[in-house]
Amino acid sequence: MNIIHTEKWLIHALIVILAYTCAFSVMKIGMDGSITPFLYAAITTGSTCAAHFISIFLFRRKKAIVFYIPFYILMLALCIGITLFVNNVAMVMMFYQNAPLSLAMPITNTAIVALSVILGIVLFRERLTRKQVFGLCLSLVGIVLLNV
Amino acid sequence: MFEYISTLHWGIFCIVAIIASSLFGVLLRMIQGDINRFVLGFTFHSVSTFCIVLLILSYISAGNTVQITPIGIIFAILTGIGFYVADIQTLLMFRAGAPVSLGISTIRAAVACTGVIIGVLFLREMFDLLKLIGMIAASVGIFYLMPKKQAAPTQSLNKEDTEKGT
Repeated sequence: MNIIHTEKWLIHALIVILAYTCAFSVMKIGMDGSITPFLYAAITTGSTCAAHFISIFLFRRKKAIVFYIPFYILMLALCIGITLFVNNVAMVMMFYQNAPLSLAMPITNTAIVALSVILGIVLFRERLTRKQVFGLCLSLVGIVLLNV
Repeated sequence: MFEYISTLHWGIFCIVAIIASSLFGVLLRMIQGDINRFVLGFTFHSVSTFCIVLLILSYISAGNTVQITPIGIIFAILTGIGFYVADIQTLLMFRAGAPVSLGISTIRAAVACTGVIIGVLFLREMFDLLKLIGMIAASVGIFYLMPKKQAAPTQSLNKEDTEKGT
């Protein structure tokens, strides 16, 4: 309990883990054929979007809310929105095609971290430490074992 | 086209989701400046929603029928709220002083493990020793993979840090 008291972020981390677990479990259960997967993705994204819009006013600080976004950030935001769209549809379709939760979750979470690190090397010219190389190999071995 | 998409194996969608999510993270790192995170989040999700609405319209115009039930809508809204809570709590987690690398790796590894637990215990999915070893290896690998010092997700990388490979 002392750890939680000193490391308050752990409480938020636990809520994040719980929220993601619930969201993916509900998505898996919800893909039982009662709703068209694309519509499911639309309602999911729409409800997240609405919640974010409410949050703009709910969590506002003393200074006025600035809705202005510079052009290049707007372009980036558009690209990010498209990747989010592809991700959401792919996730919903993945569970629609009966992906086992016990396989899909470890594979996606590990591969996202591994690919992000690889993209960081390629795009941002980051360098891998020995520990990271070991981690990358371990993750890839883990993914292979999960698929056997 | 939609008929063909519906016949693809879930592994294909898994790969697409992995690539899209990784690109999402990379693009997010390129954003810099003092911009309201909720305005930014709203913008991302607005674009995403707009694209999905276009997809549904093309799905209907292709002669497909849209199936909808109240329980399906409830599940979809609950999923959306789940993602929103995760977004907000991630933000609060970093405000509470979470180290970026440790915070992200903890979440990724833990979600991978809880997914397995829910799948095996509640959804009666098959799981053997080899997969258990694979899951442990993948989760431990995440902790080694994450760099010790890393810029916050919505900030661009400092050039000096990038050169140091942090």
